[in-house]
Formats: sequence, C-alpha cells, structure tokens
Amino acid sequence: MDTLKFGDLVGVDKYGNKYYQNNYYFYGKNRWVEYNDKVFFDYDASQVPAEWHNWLHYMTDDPPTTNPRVQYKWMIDHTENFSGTNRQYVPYSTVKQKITQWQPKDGQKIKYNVK
Amino acid sequence: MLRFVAASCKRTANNPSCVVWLKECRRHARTSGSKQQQTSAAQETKPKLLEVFIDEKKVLVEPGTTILEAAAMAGVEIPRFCYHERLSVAGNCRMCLVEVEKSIKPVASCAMPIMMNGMKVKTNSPMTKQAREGVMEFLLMNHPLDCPICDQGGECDLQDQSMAFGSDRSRLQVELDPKRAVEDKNIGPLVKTIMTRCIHCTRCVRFMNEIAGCEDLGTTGRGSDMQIGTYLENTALLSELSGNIVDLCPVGALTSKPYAFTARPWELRRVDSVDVLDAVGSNISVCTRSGDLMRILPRENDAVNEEWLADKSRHAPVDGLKAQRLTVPLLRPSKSSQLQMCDWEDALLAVGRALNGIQPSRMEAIVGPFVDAETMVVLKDLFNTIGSENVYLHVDSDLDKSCFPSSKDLDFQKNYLFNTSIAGLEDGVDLLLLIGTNIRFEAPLVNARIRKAWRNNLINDIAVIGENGLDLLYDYEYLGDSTKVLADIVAGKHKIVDRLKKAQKAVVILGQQILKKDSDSNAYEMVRALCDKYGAEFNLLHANASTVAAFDLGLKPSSERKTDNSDEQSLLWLIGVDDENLTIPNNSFVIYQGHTGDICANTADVILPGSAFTEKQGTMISMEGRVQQTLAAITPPNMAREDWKIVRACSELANYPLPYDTLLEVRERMQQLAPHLTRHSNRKLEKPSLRPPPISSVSAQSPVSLLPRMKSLVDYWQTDAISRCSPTMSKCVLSTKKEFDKRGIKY
Amino acid sequence: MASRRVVSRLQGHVKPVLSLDSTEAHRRVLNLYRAWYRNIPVILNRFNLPIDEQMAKNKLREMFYRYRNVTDIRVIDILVIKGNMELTETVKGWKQECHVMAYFKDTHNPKPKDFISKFLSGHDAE
Repeated sequence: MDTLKFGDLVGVDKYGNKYYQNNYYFYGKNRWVEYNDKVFFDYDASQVPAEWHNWLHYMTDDPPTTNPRVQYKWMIDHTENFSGTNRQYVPYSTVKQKITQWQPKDGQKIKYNVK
Repeated sequence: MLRFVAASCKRTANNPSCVVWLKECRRHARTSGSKQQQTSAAQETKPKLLEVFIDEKKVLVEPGTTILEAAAMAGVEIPRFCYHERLSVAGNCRMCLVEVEKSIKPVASCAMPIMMNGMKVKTNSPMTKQAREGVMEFLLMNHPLDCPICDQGGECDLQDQSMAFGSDRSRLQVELDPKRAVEDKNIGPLVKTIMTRCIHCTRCVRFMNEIAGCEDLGTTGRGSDMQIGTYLENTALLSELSGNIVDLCPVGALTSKPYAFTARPWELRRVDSVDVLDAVGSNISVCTRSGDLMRILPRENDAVNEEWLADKSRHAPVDGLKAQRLTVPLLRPSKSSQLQMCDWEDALLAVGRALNGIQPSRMEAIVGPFVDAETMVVLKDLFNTIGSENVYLHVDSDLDKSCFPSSKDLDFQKNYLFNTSIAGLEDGVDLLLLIGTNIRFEAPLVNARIRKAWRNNLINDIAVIGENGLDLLYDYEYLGDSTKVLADIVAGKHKIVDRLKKAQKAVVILGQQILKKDSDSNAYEMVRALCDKYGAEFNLLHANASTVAAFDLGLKPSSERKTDNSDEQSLLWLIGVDDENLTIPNNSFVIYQGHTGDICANTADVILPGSAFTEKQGTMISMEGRVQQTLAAITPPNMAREDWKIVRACSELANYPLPYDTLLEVRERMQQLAPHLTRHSNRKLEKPSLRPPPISSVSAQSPVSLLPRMKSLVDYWQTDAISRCSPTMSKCVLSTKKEFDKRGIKY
Repeated sequence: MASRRVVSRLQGHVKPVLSLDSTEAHRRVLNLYRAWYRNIPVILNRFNLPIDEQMAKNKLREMFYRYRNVTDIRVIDILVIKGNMELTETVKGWKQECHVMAYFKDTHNPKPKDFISKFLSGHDAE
C-alpha cells in the first residue's frame, strides 16, 4: 500500500480488498492489504473485516481462506467506520417528552414532529 | 375549654342526640362567655397591658398572650416544632423552652400565658440553650440520618434548627439503644409518609381535625411507642385539604407523593401567581426548574387562603398541564378531512378568512373557565370591531341557567360578587344560609373559612337549602332542597324567617353549580328577592376563575345564546370551553383556542394552541372581586402562544387590526373599559359601592329542587380540563372510591 | 526617480496601503481571486465539505462581487489583505469545517419588529 511491494496474493475479501504476504520482508511488514480500487483515496483501516484483521495483525496465521470463520445467523455484515461522513452515528435523546400532545378522539393520530 | 367542646362536637357528629346536646352546650358557652366579656368590659374599659421583659427588652402585652407571642413582638424568634399560629397549642415538642426568672424549670413558651406583671424571660441564657440542646438531642436520637434522600432536605425545620440550636455531639450509642423505626402508612396518593422521621409534633393531626375537619389522623401509643396514623388503616384521607399537612410537617415525615424525588428546594425558581382551578383566587407560588413545572405551594394571604391550598389547585396543574396539551396549530382543510399540523400562518389565515367571510351576526365567541381578563378584552374588541356582540361566558349545559345572573343583572357588581368577602365570613355573621351549593368542594377554602368561624363560635347558625346529607364539616340545619322553601321564606312563611329578621348580619350564599332540571328554578331572582327583603348580604359562589372578570367586562352568560337551525355559514370561537353538550350551530366554522385538548377540541376546524395560567401574565378576578394576576413561570410549550396575542394576531389577518401590541397597551385599553381591572392587589379589596335596585316581586314557579353538581369527594377531583388530564387526580378518584367502598359510604 | 514620482503623485493624498493606483489594486484583486480559485479543490478535499466545486466557485464569485462598488484603493488593499489572510487560514487548516461552511450560511434575517412577525417567529417577548 503506497509502496512498491511484491508478494503472494493470499485472498480477496467480499469487499474487494486484496491481502498479500511475502515472508521475505520483516515480520510486521510481510502481510499487507491493498484496498479495493473503487475506494481510491478513501481507504481506511476499518474497511478490513474482522476475520482478515485477525490474520493481518498476526492474531492467527490461518487466513480466512483456509480457515473460514464460523457463520451464525445473528452476525451482521462488517461496516467501516462512518465517523465524519453523513452516515455517522449521531446521539439523540431517548428521554420521555416532558409534555405530551393531545390526540383527537376520532381515532386519527396526528403526527407531531416536535423539536 | 371552648376549643375542646368544638373539637369533640365534630367528633361525635354522627350521633344526632349528641349533636343537639353539644349544640346547646356551645350556645350556652357562647352566651355565658359573652356575658363574662360584658361584665369585664364594664369593669375596665380597656384591658390592662402587662409588662414582660424578653432578654431585658420591655414589651407590653395583653394578659393571656403566650411568651412565644410576646417574644415575637420583641423580635426574638424562639425555635419551635409543634407550635403553629393557625393551629391549637399542643406544647409537646418542648423545643420552645425558655428560662423564666423565678421558675426552677425551663418553661414551654408556646403554652405559657403571661398572667403577671414583670415576668422576665431569658431566651439566650445557658439554661435555655442547654434545654434546647437537650431537646434536640432527644429528637435526633430517634431521627434517621437520611437527609440526602429526604424530600424535605433543604426546607426542613429540624435541619435548620439543629444547625442553629442543637449541640455538636450526641450521646447516643446505637449499639446499646437502637434507633426507633416505625412502619410507613399509606394515606392516599397525595401524601407520602416516612413515619420513622416523625417527631410527633402533631401538627398534621391538629390540622386535619381542626381545619380540614377530617378526623382520620390521630396518635396512638405513648412515649416511644407513640405513632401518628389513621386508626383504622384507612388508605386515603377523605379530605380536599390534605396536601397542606405536607407544608405543615416540620420534618420529612409527610412529603408530597407526586413530587417525591423530583427536585430540591434550592433548584427551584418560585414565581408568585394565582390559582385558577376555582374562583377563590388562592395565592400560590409556582415552583419551576429549567422550564419544567415542579410543584405549586400556597402563598400566605390572610384575606383569601390564609396559608392553605386545596388539593386540586395544588396537584392538578403540575401533571395535568403536561398531558394532552395543544402545542402546535392544527387545521382541518375541509369538513370531511382530519386535523393536520400546520404553521401559525396557515391557521391564522384560515381564521382570518372565516372572520371576513361570515356574517358578523352569525359569529359567536365563548370563553371558558381559565381565561384571563386580557384575552376577553381583546376578543370582545375584535368581535365588536367586526360588528358582532356575541361574546359569551360559558355556562355548562348541565347546569340550571336560572341560578346565574342574566345580562341585565350585570350592571351592578353587587349582583354577581361574593359580597361578604371571604375574610368577612369571620366578621360577626349571625346567620349563614347556603343555597344549592356544596361549598366544601366548589370552594374548599371558603368552606374552611366557614368552619374556622364556626369553630371559633363566630358563626353559630348555619342553614342549608339543597342536597340533603352533605358533609360540610360543620353542623347546619337542613331546610329542604326545593325552591318552595325559598318561596316560603320570601313570603315570610318559613320558620327561619324570624332568625333572618333578627340577624344583624345574615349572609346568603347561592351556588353556581346547580344541576339543570326540566324547568327553570329561577333561583337567582328568588335569592335576590330574599336578600332584599330581609337585608341579608347576597353572595354568589362562583365555580370558575374567569366568571367575575367576564361579567365585569360585559360578557353575557352563554345560556343567552340564540342558535337557529339555518344552514347559513356561522363561526364559533371557543376559548378553553369544554362541554359535551355544547350547541354548535349547523355549518359552523369552529375555532378552538386553549391549552388543553379536551371534549370540544374534537369538533374544531382550527386549533390555536394557547397557554396555561402558569405560562402567561394575566389578570384574574376572584369571586369576591379581588383583582390579582398570574405571572409566567415557564414558557408556553413548543408553538403555543399567549392567548390575547393569538386573538390580536387573528385580528391582523382578518384586516381588523386592533390598536395594541403589548400587554401594557392591552391593560390601558382594559382600564378604559373597567378601571378597577388594572388595579392589581393581593391585599386590598375594592368593594362596589353602587347598590342595585331591589327586586320587589318574583314570578311564581313550580318547585324545583336545587341540587349541586358535586356531591361527594369523588366528584371533586376531576372537574375541568386540567384536572381531567392529571394522573394524580385520577389516582385520587380511585383511592377515594376505594375508601368510600370500604367504609360503606355511598357516593 | 521613481520615488519622486510617488511623492509627487501623493501630494495632497494619503499614504497608500499597498497599491499606488487602481491598475495595481485591480491586479492584486485578480491575483487573490486566482489563488482562491486554484485552491477550491484542495479546500473541498481537505474539509470534506458537502458542496461541489461549482457551488464553491459561485460563492467565491459572490464574495468578490459583494465589494464590487468599492473604489477606494486603500479599502481595496485592506480587503485583499484580509482575503489573503482568510485564504491562508483556510488552506493551512487553521480553520475547521464549520468556519468554512460559515461562508455558505444563509443571510441573517433582521429581528422581527412589528407585532405579527414577532408573533409568527415566536420572539414575542416585549
């Protein structure tokens, strides 16, 4: 990434990031990721999914290609960090409103969009 | 002695023979008392004043004054827990011990009358200090150390006085003598009890027995086993004044249940205001924290509410004004569609269009119970500019309209005021005649005043025409429920006529909540005629806070509306009117303006969100004609605005702009209309001087019974839009019903 | 020689800030405009602004046209100096996103004066 390196393609994740390894380099530099070309300059370390993160940071030597992670149905998809974008998490008040509005008796419900 | 008789009289009131006997007893006591007074007055024209020395300072007092009162005159405050000016003296807390020269023991100053000349009191001597420290040590010995979680914290007499007068150490050894613990009692949804904190001052017991007239609270046991409680494990105090024992409690044993753990006194901002839930005009202070209404407390005003407040006034607005609020303008685009949220521009334009497009003679405006005088002035000006005279004060359709003054009676204030004034009830009333009213629930504090006068033998003759078997907290003679009784009295055929004639000051109070019957009772005219004939003072007991202001400004009662069945477009402007059976003309454009959405808001085509009495500055006039004002404690929620401003804005968009932009200018206009409406004063009461021409003849009517709308405590809690929205008031209804069921009382 | 010319030109005039005549001032303005224009992509990228280049260019134009009626050379010079300061602060990242976006803020409405506009805006305190 940003450097000229040669290595073996270990695998590609579902987001199109390519993972390389070349043990000719020092430990710590021998595994790297090349982000999907689509993101161009907007690459970010959080775009690496958890299972490849493990391999990339030497928590395991088995890449997810040979040792895939167990899949459960409650697992949600990996997302990158959205901070600073318009998809970022914005905290909102969950406190009950101090004043409740009137709703007419005839069954209709008025939608109040109250500040 | 007298006090004891009066108290025990009430306690045994269920036994009729007892009542008679006790009444005789009281009569006798009264006459003999007055005789004594007469003789003593003959002996010496003015009572001899006695000299007392409080800390070397000379004070002249009348014989019989207590040391504590004398010290107050000298500007020395003696610490006290059980003593309260408006309650009887108990003398059981011993905090007010002072050293009196030539007395071996310290003396409880609240119970010690000054009877001899030259008494020397030392309120700062080592003996006094030691006595106070000793009492404080005993009190704190059994008092829990839970101030951090106690609602009284910050306004606690025990905290303050232990800081000021207590010792800095205690000899209590908890491992040898554990602290006393007392089980908490459930006494209803308004008062929370933490009985371990109780110091047995018995202020609550004395208040409930003496002032509230509900002898449920009492003490059981002696010494360290003494407990305050309802003897029979009652789960609700059947009283409309029970909230006051929270204010009276010097410690945190009785705290307000709805207010529990919500705020600290030092966080609150207090704004002086006036209560609007009944027509008494009680002085209150509204406590808010960061734009949130937290609680309502009474403010002392001897002429109106002394220092008490009715439970509905105290608790209903606090949560009632937080539910079902109208906070944004709503608009029904066409007759068949539903209400939708809109901007103020749209709502005002719709109102403006309607005001322009509809014939002025087919426009009507009706103001409800909480409306301030400013709004009425602006509304009346707008309608008069457009060319309509139809501005009405709402009269509930359930009520008998002939007990209200009609528009021809409104020329004289004496015709519709509570002329005796509330404080005047204590001033030599010989005969009190209550007609068609359950005064206990229509105006609890007026009733408390009558009870006070009755207990002090200032009113001894009370008669009632109306509902039979009302529990009014004092003895009265029941004359019947029909207008026939009234007619008999006017004709001079009734047995009470002699007493009426004899009475120096007879006071007649006519209720304004008499249920409608098939035919009109004509009660108003008959009572006027009665008063004119016997020279009695005529009083109307209004139920709504806006009534007197409306009458002063010339609004007609809505019972005089003339609605026809024609399909021509008409306009109906309701300000805070809630009435299920309100007649709405056909093809009518209904504007609902108010702070709470209730029954009539459902029929509206435009809803204009107004503000409640806690959110605006407005003039309110109490039933006795006292001009007071509410002040804004918080801002109106969301897009709600002050009521007179809404009307003023509508006038602009209807192309009839009214010539005032600020409250001061509105009040200038008000001064032109009715000068007294701008002379706000909580203390002074201007009495009308003009006397209306007497009514000579009353048309004969078939007898109709005069039954008040509210019968028992169950009916009291939820009577208007604010209290109907209040969860606390619903809880009160439930607990009262439960308690009534348990005691086998019908409601 | 040149200095004498300056002195002669300025006799009876005030001391210049930067420019001696309107051509020079005009040149400085154009230079500033170009500098801003070139830096627009950099600024957009740096602050991750929710606007596109065209909007930024329009705004730049608007900001310069705001002072189109200024003819006093000294005032123009001061404005140019201030514009340069703004540019430096922006490009060097001494400003933050909100400061840059302040250029795009709507114009401030005047406080409502008459009754009805006070009423509608909710600023109806007297």
